[in-house]
Formats: sequence, C-alpha cells, structure tokens
Amino acid sequence: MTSSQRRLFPDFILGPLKGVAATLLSLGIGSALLATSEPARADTWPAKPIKLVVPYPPGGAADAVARLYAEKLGESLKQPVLVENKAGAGTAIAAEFVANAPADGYTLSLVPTGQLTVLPHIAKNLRFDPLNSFAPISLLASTAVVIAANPTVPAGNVKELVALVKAKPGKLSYSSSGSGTIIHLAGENFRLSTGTDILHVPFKGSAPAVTALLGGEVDLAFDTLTVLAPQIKAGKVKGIAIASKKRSPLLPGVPTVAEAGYPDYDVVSWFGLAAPAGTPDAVVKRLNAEVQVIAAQPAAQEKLAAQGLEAWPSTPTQFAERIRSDHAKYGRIVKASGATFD
Amino acid sequence: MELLSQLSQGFAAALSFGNIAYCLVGVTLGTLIGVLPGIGPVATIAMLLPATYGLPPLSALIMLAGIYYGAQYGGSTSAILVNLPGESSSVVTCLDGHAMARQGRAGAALGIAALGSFFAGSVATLIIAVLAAPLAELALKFGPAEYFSLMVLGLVAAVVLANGSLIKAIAMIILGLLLGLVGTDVNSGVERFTFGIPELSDGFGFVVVSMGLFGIAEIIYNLEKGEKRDFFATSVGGIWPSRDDFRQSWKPVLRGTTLGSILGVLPGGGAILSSFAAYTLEKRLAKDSSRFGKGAIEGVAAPEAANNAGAQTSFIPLLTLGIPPNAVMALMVGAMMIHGIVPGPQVMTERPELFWGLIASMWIGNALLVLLNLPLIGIWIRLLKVPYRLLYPAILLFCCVGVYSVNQSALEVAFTVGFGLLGYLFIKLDCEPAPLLLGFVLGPLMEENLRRALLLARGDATVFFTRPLSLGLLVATLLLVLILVLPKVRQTREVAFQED
Repeated sequence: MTSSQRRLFPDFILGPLKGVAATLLSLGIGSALLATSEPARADTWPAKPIKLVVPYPPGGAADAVARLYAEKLGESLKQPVLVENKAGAGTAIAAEFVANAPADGYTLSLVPTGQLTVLPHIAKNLRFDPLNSFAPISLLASTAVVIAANPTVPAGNVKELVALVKAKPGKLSYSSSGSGTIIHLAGENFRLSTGTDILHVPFKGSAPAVTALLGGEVDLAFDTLTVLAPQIKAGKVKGIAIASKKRSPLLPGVPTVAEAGYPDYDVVSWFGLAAPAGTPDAVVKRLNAEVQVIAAQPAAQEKLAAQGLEAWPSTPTQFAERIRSDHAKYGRIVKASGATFD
Repeated sequence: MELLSQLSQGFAAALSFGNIAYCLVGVTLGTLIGVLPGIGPVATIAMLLPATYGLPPLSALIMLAGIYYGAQYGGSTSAILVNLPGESSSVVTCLDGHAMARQGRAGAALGIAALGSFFAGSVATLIIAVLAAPLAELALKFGPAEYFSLMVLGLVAAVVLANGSLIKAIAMIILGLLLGLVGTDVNSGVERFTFGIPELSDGFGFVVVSMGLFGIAEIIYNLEKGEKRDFFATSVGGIWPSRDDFRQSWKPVLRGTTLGSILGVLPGGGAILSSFAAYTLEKRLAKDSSRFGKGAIEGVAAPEAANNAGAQTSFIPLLTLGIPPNAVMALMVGAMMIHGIVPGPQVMTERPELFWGLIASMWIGNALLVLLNLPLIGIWIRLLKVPYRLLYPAILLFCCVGVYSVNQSALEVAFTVGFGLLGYLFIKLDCEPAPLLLGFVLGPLMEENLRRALLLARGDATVFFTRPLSLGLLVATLLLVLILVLPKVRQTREVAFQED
C-alpha cells in the first residue's frame, strides 16, 4: 500500500478492507493459480500461493492453529498460505482431497489427531491410506484432554471418581463432542483402563456437550483444555484430571490420570502439518524448518496458550511415528470398547 | 443504578470514534452479505477474522457482532425482494414479504422489517443488559427432554404455516423430516441414506435446501410465465409503510420481540424456532387468517422482530456461559481467544468494559442499520425493475458462489440445482416449501434430543412428563392441536347441520 492511500483512509477502515480484498483476491486468483500446477522444483518453490486444507468449519482449535501457522508461514515463505475449510464426513473429505492433490508442495493438510488415527478404524470406504497417503511434515500444537465433573458429583479426583462409579455402575454419564472423536476415545479408554461402567452421551460438538455438563444433564465431560479450562477456572465445573501423562502448564493444579495409578492412560489431542505422499523432500524439510522457527516464537506460543494449546514441533520422522503409534493404540481401544460404527 | 453506571461505561467505550467506525463497517458488510443470497455471516467472519487480529479486542468484537446482526437485516431484504431466504430465520419472511413485493408493496415490507427489527433489537439489547444471568440459567435448564418437547411444539405449529391444504402441509413436513434423516446419526455414528457419498455424511446443508426450494424454483417458475411484472410497479401505495401498516404492525412486533428474546437464548434450534413461532402466533391471533401468505404485513413484522430479537439474545450464552450457540458465535469465541480473552462466565466481571461496550455497540449498530436501510429501500426496489435476463443470471451466480463458499464443495452446488427442480415440482403441485424446511431443520434436532433424553433416562419415556418444563411444552402442544382441530370440527358440524 502506498502512503498516499494511507492518508485518504485511516487505518482502522483500511485494515479490515485490506483483509477482505486480500481474501477475495486470494480466493479468486489464488484458486485459478492453484489449478495450473507444475511439478515443484525445490529451488523455485514456493512460486505461487499455498493452500492449507482444514477439515473443520471456521472457528475452533484446529482452525485457529491453521490460521496462526498459515500467517507466519506466509511471511517466511514470501507466498500467501491460504486456509481452506473443507469440512465434512468427520474430516474424511479433507483427507481424501489432500491425498489426491498433486504432490507439488502447494497443497498442505492440517491433520487433527482423529483424522489418521481414529477415523480409519471406524469409517468404511475411506479413499485414503492413513499411513501411506501423506508425507508428515511436523507436529504443530497439542492440547490436553481434561475430565471435568458437575459440582454436584461427590468426587474431586480420579480415585474418588473410580470408587463412586464402581459403587454405582452405569449410573454416571459423560458427554463427548461426538461419536468416534478423540474425546469419545479418551472416555472409552478411561472406562477400559479403570474397569468402570460410565454411560457415553454423544453431542454434536463441544458447545452442547459442555452445556449439558453445566446444566447437570450429564455428570462428567471429557473435552480439550481449550473448551474446559475456562469453565474450570471460573469454578463452574470441577477439573478431575488431565487425560495425558504430563500435567498441563495451563492448568497446573489438576493432576493427571497417570498420577492416580493408571500409568498407561495417555490421550493427547494434537494437530500436525502434512502434505500428499510424494512431496519433494526438500519442500518437506523447508516447511519443517519454518515450523520450528515459528513454534519457538514467544508471540506464537502466547497466541496458542490463549486457546489452551501448546506449541509442539517435531521432526517429520517423529510425526510419522506419532501417527503410527496412535493409529495402533486407538485401533486397540475401538476394538476393546466394542464401539461399533457401521 | 449499578446498571446505569455499567451502561454508561459501555457507551463510553463504544462511542469512541474508532469503535463507531468499526460498528459501521460491520453492519454495512453484514447488510451486504445478508442481501447477497447464500453468502452468510459465517463465511464472511471467517474471511475477516485475520484482519481483526491487529485491532483492540472490543473493536474486533463490535465489528464481528455487527456483521452478524447486520446480516439478519440484509437477509430479509433478499427474502422479500426475490424470495431467497439466505438464513433459516428469513424463511417465513419470504411467505408474506415476497407476496407483498408481488403486490407492489415491497417498500412497505422492507420498511416494516427494518423498523420492527430496530425496535426488537433495541429491546433485546436491554434484555441482555438486565436479564442476561437469569436467562442463561434458563438455557441450562433446557435439557434433552425439554428440547424434544419444544421441537414437537414447533413441528405441530409448522402445520399452521401452510395456507392451502392441511394434508399437503403434513406431507411436506414429513418429507422434510425424511430429508433431515440423511447423514450421520449423532448417537451411533452410523451413516444413513448417504449412498457412500462423503458429502452427504453430514446431511444436506440448510443453505442448499432453502436456496433450491425457494430461490431457484422461483426463478424457473417465473421464466415459465414470461416477463410480465406489472405487479412490481412501485406506484401502488408509495415506498413507505402507511399509517395503516403501522397500526396493524405494532402489536405483532411486540409479540415477536418477546418470543424472539426468549427463544433466542436457547442454543440449538431456539433462533430458528423464534421466527416460525412468531408467524404462527400472528396467524392464530388474526381475525382473518386467510390473508396470511398473501401479503399480510403482520406476517412480516412479527417474524422479523422475532429473528432480530433472537439474534441479539443469542449472545447471552456466549457472554455469560462462554458457550457459543451457533457457528457465528463459535467464530467470535475464536476472535476473543486470539485477543487473550477467554470467553466464559468470568468475562462479565473481569472485563466489564468489553461486555458492556459490546452491548452498547449493539444499540448503536441497530440505529446505524435503520439509518442505512431506510434510504436503501428505494434502491432495492429499483433492483426489481432490472430485467429478468440480467437479474436471474446474477441471482443464480450469487447462489452458486454462496453455496460453494460454505464447504468449498462443487457437489453441493449440484444438490442445490436438484432441490431447485424439486421446488419447481412443488410449485406445480401446489405444495408449499416452508413446512418442509421447518421439518428438515427441526426433525434431526428432535430425533437427536429424543434419543439423548431416553439414553440419559435409561429408556424411561416418562421423563418427558416428569420434568416440569417439558410437560408444560407438551401441554402447549396439545392445546395447539386442539385449536387446530376445533374449527374443522365446528365446520364439519355446521356442514352436517346444514345437510339435516
């Protein structure tokens, strides 16, 4: 923008308008450019805007992680990184889209935990291979899963909770953000690990699931720190435990399930960055390097922390290993829990 | 007195030059995207979100909120002018609003919609300021059993929406219920009627169905009739609502505002129900209910007031509980978090300038919307004189862009065309699409909550009668059924007596 324009309109008007114009332009021209794809050459890449596919509608943690990294990657790569929300079919539509996109480094995927590790165990006819269709680039961020209870539930920690449920098998219920989500599996994993019987009540998303906990319709809720931390901090619900091996710095007072004597219980909700399989190594390496830089920035970490997220970069190999091990683990839990999905 | 000082604190924050400007940008953008069929506030706010990162938190929220309720204003404009409901809440506005436009009274319809919305928005904002906390408690008291009973009430009321045959209306509602079954079952995760098409696994989108049944079907039907639009001439009755219009409208606006303010608080379905409920109520209260569907101004005033009141009070769960009741609010949560504000019960006490500033800005925004919309009416009406050969391709283009922008899916555009053809068939068969749409929206919510209530009650169906709120709603449903049936009974008896 030239300085003469700056004088015509104050910044508070131009700011948002600029955003609109840029987005409209990028939507139109960007997708026209993306349509004509050429094989990536490491020395010229990126020569045009990059598309980052998010498998959820705008809003929510996945979208926030994507937009944060997209903005920063755009700055360091000197090419806009455009977030495209392709929601549907429990993230399968986006996964199929990326798996079938040209492996030229211009289509990237924001991978939430369940997409490659849970969905393949419960959905039929997926047109992608969770372990072979993608080139993992790096993990981006993680958020702990939390177990929370309505204040009327007479249990303040995992030991008391387990004792309560064992005394009243099948009487207590927990809400989740949906059947077959990582949250649901955290709940099933808890049931299996502690040998207890708790009723699963699925909702359509986190907002109604937490409302049900606040209103006392359900006794317990499993959800991410992003969703539950504000309610726990405000004292509206009780934080029973963190569902992973280590405590969260964002909620340091809440112990882990592992601390209560279930050392193998560990569910982490993570978000990663991947490209279609066959994307040139040089591109993967460059993107990984940029992610490391961004994840180390205090400003980025702060923005993530505000949403209950922690920056969690990795090497491509570590990310691939994480996908493989979680894929195996959730496969076991789906089988053991007897959760059937047609 | 505390309220006054809090409000003055809010106005002090909202009345800064920058914040008024952001409010204006927000409501103007909102009006524009509301008028453009299909492009809803969700897509717009998602696009603008990055642009708000650099703003102060209050300014960002004021602008985003302005887009949301501005879109409610704009949505009624396209509903009235071209029979295109961009949002679920403007479906009922199509019924009488578009009928008024056909009679050359588009100006009166737009005027009453704008003024009714302004009144409702102002009152609802006051309600947020005074009653936010108790109303949030009401939202929490609504469990699955209550939602189920509310949806039953809504579906029975949907019968009243129909102007013609009762049988056809019921058939359309059931068809809507069936269409609503498509997609993944929330309770079991099983896919139903998806035929292996991934795009169907979340069901048909509301925009897809409504654009097709209303907008595209209307265009096909009009093309068939050829271009004769003398009824759009604006000579009849001028472009402003007459004194008579106001006399007929003020009570419906009051009732609509009340209904909308209450139902708007309920996350999930409340906002959709409010405009339908307001319309139903007016039709039952009217001395001559046969005018409805043929351009009754009450049929525009009440639902418009209700949907705007509901749009304002739907901020209550977000502001007091930190729970977003719809997709737009979920985006606002994102915006708040980016600015380090954790939406939750504590926002009201920890960041009072934010809470009250936003509320004050809603008043300012509603006033700006009236100032913006009333002069625009003349321009909108001129839009109706644009020849079909220019107007229709433009509408179709915007419909396609709008539908595509929801999920970036070309297949959904094709679905929309399919629903357009279906809608044309309905026009030919003299079946009205509004009851279908209500069945389509309410059906899945009803099923989901029925099964959830039974799941929580471990299969005990008496739960619907033992919870007082649920029982009250079911009793209201029964009364409504009686009211619906009684005139028929009376008529048949009269006929029987005549035959004697």
